[in-house]
Amino acid sequence: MVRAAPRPVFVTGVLVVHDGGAWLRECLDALSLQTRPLDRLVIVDTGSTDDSLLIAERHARIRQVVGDVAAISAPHESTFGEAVGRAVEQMSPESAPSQAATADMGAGWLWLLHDDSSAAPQALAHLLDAARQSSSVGVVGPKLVSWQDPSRLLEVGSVITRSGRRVGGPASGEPDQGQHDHRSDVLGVNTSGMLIRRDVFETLGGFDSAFGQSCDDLDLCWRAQLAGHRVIVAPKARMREAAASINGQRFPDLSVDAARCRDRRHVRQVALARCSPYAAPFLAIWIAMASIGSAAALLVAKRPRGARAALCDFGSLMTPWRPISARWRSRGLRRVRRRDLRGLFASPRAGFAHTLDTIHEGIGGGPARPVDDALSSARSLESGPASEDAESLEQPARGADRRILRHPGLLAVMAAALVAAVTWRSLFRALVPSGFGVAGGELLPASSNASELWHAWLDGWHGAGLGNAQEPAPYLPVLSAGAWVVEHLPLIGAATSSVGVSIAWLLCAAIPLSAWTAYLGARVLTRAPWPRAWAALAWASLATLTTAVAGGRLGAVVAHILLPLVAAGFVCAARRSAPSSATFGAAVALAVTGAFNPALGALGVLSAVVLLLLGHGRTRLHAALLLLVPIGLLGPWILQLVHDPLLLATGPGLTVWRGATTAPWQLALLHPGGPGSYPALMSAPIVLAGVIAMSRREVESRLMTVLAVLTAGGLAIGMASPHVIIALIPQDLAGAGGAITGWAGTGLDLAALGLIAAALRGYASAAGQLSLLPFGWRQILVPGVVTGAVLGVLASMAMAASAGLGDMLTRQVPNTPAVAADQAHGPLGNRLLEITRDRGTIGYRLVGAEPGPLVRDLPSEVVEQEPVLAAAVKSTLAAGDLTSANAARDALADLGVGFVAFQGASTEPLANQLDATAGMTRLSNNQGLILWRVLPRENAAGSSRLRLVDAKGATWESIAVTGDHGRTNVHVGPVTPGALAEGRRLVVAEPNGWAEHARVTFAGRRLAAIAGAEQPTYLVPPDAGQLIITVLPTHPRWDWGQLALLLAVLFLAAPLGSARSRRAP
Amino acid sequence: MSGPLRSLAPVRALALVAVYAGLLFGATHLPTPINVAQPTSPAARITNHADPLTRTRSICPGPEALGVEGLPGSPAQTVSVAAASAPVASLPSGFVTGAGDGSLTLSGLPSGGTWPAPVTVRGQVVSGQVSTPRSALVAGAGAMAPGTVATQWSLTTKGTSRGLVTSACIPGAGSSWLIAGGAAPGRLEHLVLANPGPNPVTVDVSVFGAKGRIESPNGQGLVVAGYGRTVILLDAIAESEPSPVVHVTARGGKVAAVLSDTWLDGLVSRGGDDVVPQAPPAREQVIAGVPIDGRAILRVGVPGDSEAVIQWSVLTASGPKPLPAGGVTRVAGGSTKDIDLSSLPTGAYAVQVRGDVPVVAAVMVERRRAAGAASDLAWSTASLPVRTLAGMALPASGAEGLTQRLDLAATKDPASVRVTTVRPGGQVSTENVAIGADSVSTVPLDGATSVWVTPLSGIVRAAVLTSVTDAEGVLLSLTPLVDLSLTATPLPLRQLRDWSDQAPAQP
Repeated sequence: MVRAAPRPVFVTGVLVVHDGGAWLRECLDALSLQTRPLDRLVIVDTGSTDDSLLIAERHARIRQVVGDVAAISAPHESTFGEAVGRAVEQMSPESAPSQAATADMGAGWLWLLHDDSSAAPQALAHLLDAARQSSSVGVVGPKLVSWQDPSRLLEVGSVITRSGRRVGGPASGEPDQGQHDHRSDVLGVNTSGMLIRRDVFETLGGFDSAFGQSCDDLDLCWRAQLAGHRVIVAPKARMREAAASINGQRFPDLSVDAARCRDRRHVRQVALARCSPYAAPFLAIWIAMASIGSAAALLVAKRPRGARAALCDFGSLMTPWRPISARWRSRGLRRVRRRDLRGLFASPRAGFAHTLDTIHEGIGGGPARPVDDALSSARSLESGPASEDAESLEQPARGADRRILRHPGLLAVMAAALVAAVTWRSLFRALVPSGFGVAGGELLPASSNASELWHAWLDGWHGAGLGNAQEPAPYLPVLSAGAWVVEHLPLIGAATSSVGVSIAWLLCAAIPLSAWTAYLGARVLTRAPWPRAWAALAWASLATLTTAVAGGRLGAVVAHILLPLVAAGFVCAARRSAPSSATFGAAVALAVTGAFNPALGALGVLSAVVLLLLGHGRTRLHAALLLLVPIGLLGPWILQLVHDPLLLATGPGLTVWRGATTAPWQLALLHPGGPGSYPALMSAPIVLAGVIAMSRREVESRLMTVLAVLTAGGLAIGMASPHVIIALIPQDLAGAGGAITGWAGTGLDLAALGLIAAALRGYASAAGQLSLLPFGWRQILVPGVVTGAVLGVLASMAMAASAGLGDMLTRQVPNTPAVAADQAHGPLGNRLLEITRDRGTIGYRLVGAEPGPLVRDLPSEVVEQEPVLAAAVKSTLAAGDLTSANAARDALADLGVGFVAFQGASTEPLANQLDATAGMTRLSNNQGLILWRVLPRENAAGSSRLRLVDAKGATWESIAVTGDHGRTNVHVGPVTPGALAEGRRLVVAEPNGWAEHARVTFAGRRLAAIAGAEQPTYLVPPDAGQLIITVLPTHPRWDWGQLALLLAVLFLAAPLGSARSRRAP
Repeated sequence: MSGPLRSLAPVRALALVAVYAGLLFGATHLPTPINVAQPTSPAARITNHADPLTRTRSICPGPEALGVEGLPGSPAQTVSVAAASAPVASLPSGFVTGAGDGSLTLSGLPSGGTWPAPVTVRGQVVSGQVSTPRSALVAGAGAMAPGTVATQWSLTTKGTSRGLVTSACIPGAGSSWLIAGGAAPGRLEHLVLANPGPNPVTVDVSVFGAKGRIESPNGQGLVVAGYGRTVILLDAIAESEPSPVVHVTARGGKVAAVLSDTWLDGLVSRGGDDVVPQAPPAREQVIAGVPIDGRAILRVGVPGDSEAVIQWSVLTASGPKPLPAGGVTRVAGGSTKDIDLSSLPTGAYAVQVRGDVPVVAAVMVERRRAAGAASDLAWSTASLPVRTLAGMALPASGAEGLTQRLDLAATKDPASVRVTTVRPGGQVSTENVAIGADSVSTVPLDGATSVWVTPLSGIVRAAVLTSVTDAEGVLLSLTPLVDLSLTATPLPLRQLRDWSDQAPAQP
């Protein structure tokens, strides 16, 4: 029980009214019920337009309890602080009765009151009690609770970090269980119910107008602290508070978000104004960094409002005059050292933890909290809405591990992984990260890393040998990203050929990955986990996948993995309830599928067009996304398809050369033939189950019809593929004139998708429906078909595992001698000239560090002969000529050729001739490969891509390269006096076409290629400077656009941030 | 899911089954594949066009006895070199030399020495002398290149080194078979190895003998410097081998190998001759130009490991002549055998050797007036038929008693050739010669500076017999003529695709 406060203290209530009619009556009632009544009440009206004045005037009871009630008015635009200041100004000194007894408590106290607050009857008594504890107390604040629900907390003093970040306060809607009642000394208290000693108020000069409506309380308290007055909170004093100014009830044009933002901004400014002047610049920098950093992190976590709020912090730096002027006005007030206030601040860690919490909430693991009062949400960051997942996570986690182990999806993926492991038993050694991966079948030997592959796609001049400017394949960036991941895996170490290894891993993981995507995608058809597991295994054990893996058909493998996700995305998009993230995800998947398998990409785009025409509202929007996003992501490459529509029928590893025909009945059973096949009859149950499911009347008809069309269309494509010759093998390749057809598996995959989806849809709910029907033939047929389908899939898995990979894929061994490969990737960047002898011709090829094609595709007609290269080879093969002993060496060195290799017996006359060629020395003869080194020129370390020559063409110096096709960034010294008097030139060992795509800068100035030179040649100024050579992208704007689109789509596709997307399939 | 739609379900399934059936039927019975391939342009046909040579190089061994490895100090020796390009009259009909000028140049290998100015006229002989340990390099260039020949010769009539030696100058080769030498006391075999290329060449010399292959580390890994010459004695590898056959292989380049056989029996000069690489091992070898008048031996070598059954016969002007002993013998694999032909009557012969496995063969003939007198020997080796043109720059005819003769041998069918001779004044005369099947024919060449054989029909081999008759007896030397290629067929160059060697395998 609170004892009655003794009279000697004189308390003046200052009630500021501004259109508070809704709450004012209750507010005045509460004041009149105080156990320790006010000695005086000053009601300041700031131009209310509602009935507030009337209520105040007519409230008889308050006039009974408080004898001295005065009403003054202030301008309409006055802030709370200004209104209080005006009241204090006009207030006469405290009345006589208290004069004698105020020695220990100062002249008198001001109790600042909002018109939308209601003090508990003992509030003032408790506040005075707290104030009385020590003469150093200058400000006391009550515990603020929600107006609507007084059991929920709003504020128990302000807790901020030194950098001006609110943390640790009661969270929005936190129930009051006395958990914050231990608080006493705080940095600040709210103006609502703030009890402040009048002399302190006057000494401090009242509220600082720089901080306007919000945070002037925090600023006042902070200044009070600095002036040596304690600020305490008295949790026993309770006040209900409607926070009408902040939640928009008082100022309809001030939104909740804006109020929040303003609050954050002002807290930061208060911190800037009240911290040590030396720390202020650093604090400003920190605020800027933290603001942008957390905004970025929150954006990634899909908390756009949180991100915007975080950016508000940055706004605090936009008005630097405010904290500076506030600091100026309060000069000379400080009585205590700033470090003595240390205990009042929250640690920076608390601030960081707060951001993490918000991100965590965004991802969906955060605790659920109902949104309650706007004030409290303004005082904390946005919180996520409740979600079913979140709630389920809060349940006790007993037996969670057991549940995971029994998860059908996980079991299906594990089973598929086991099948993959057994299938790959013969090639496990090819998967070591330090190796080169696999080659054979459609996979060509590749040894390159992520960066080289990336540049092979990005740069305008790219490709093996001397390079070319053709449009690169669109799947290269995807493989490059995979290789980058492989390179950066911990504990794996640098791979020699990260591209080869990542492809090998992708092929190896194709079966479990397909099972996983099929399990995920099947969710749009049924939620029953076990049927989905069946569908996953059926999809993962299809012969279209096993043969694609065994034949190295990269495009087919990637498409098979992604197809369920794309299909599920389309089903989602067709349903109006589809979440956007699912559509964006499907669009990305469709783009990747299209990059690897243009035919499927085109079909997907076609389906999107159909959906766009037939759909309504939201469906059309999603269809438009599915149409435009893949086109945008694939960029200029689409034009290639327009130019040559036959490319649609092919793709990386999607052609069959001189194919042995597979029997039509095997094709009909979804078996395209080739290595990795297993008996075709094993797939018959899947086909049967799908066809019979389509005849069921109990299931959704429209979907089934679509699936039937998909199946028929896929079958038609698959079975027609071997009968349509899309190209002939060019004359310069083995089997010239032979037919090239499309791979049947692409169409069969579509048919399989339709059949498995139909079976899944048809039987997933069969058990429940059957029990409702009278006993009949269905009760016999359906279990039979289901059993058959399950057994068929199990048998397929077993047979696929035992069949293994066949003999097409082999472990890739380095195809260039180690010394040549080493120097190709080194600073010289030199090349290897490979010479072979067959069928009455001499074949040659230039091999550098640049990657060539990775997978066989539709061949271009005939390789264009590079005249420069042909001339160099000719001079190499002509036996040494005494008149120009170094002709061959010079021709080779001009092209950066450091090594010559001959594949064949050392008794071949050609080997002898190469031996006799001047400027070459034989290095080794190893396993039928004879290697010569091209001797370096004078002043050169060896054949190099870049060299400085004098005006006569004599080599002066080799310049190091740092990338493919002459890319470099090196310092070049000045010309030594006397040498190179006529100017030095940079010669690049690339064909002339290269110069159109390269930018050569020296000491910051761009150099232009000398016209008419045999090779790209540049005049280099004689002084020292940085030589930078870059190969420019062909379509830089497109590339940036693609990147931006990809980032945006990936961001939107991430299933984070909203409950809706979490509930999506 | 309305009622009418529900009833569609069986229809839908039936339609799918119908599609299935239709596709199966269609795929099984479709007659021909549909071709939507874009028509490809006809492939650039790889034509094997032959271009006239623009550069020929042949190496004359130089003084064989000079610069022997490990032998300091050697007697003075001078050899002469004569080179010429085929006169236009001898060129096969239809052959046109390259446009522009050309030249025929002599130079030293290693470089050095004094040499005459290059000649630029076809048929004209350019000659020089070498008396230092170096080979002579004969380089034909431009329009002069096709049909370039050169001959090294030396004639000593007095003293212990009496003898007549002629040797054709040869291009470098990776593999050379040489047959000469013997085990008699005072008989020396110098192997001259010249490297015309810039890079050092590693040479392996293996010797096949009467008792099989002779393994010696001394013959392995001999290094001949770039543009350098090395002379070794065969005795270092195969001492006292009575019937050596030498195989020279070069690694890291080509080498011109010449084997010089000299014989000094005490103080009596028994003469000598040089042999150049003969036709590679084959199941038939023909040695043209075997003038037998006294001792003659046929040496046969079997390079392979299996035993050879060898049959030999001689061709005369009147056709093949049966041999008394049947002309059949066995030679163990990897070994050699000398067969005595001394019993044959004096005359011009050609020897034909057939084996059931590839063999090499050569004939040595000797001229000796009486036992104890000085003598000379000459080796004639098996050669390949002349297909295009063959020729020889003849030793200068200043010597007294020098006669020269062209020996032609036709096998299998009658043959005819056009023989072109060039006189010192530059007069060119041609003569068509017919040779009967499996017989020989001789054409005197006295006074000519060069002789050229252009085959018109049949399979013809040719050799030139040079002899000098003086008071002490007859000196002779034999030089088989080697077919000259006038054109080069450059192997077509083809830039490979990045993956052309990855021909797709199909199941």
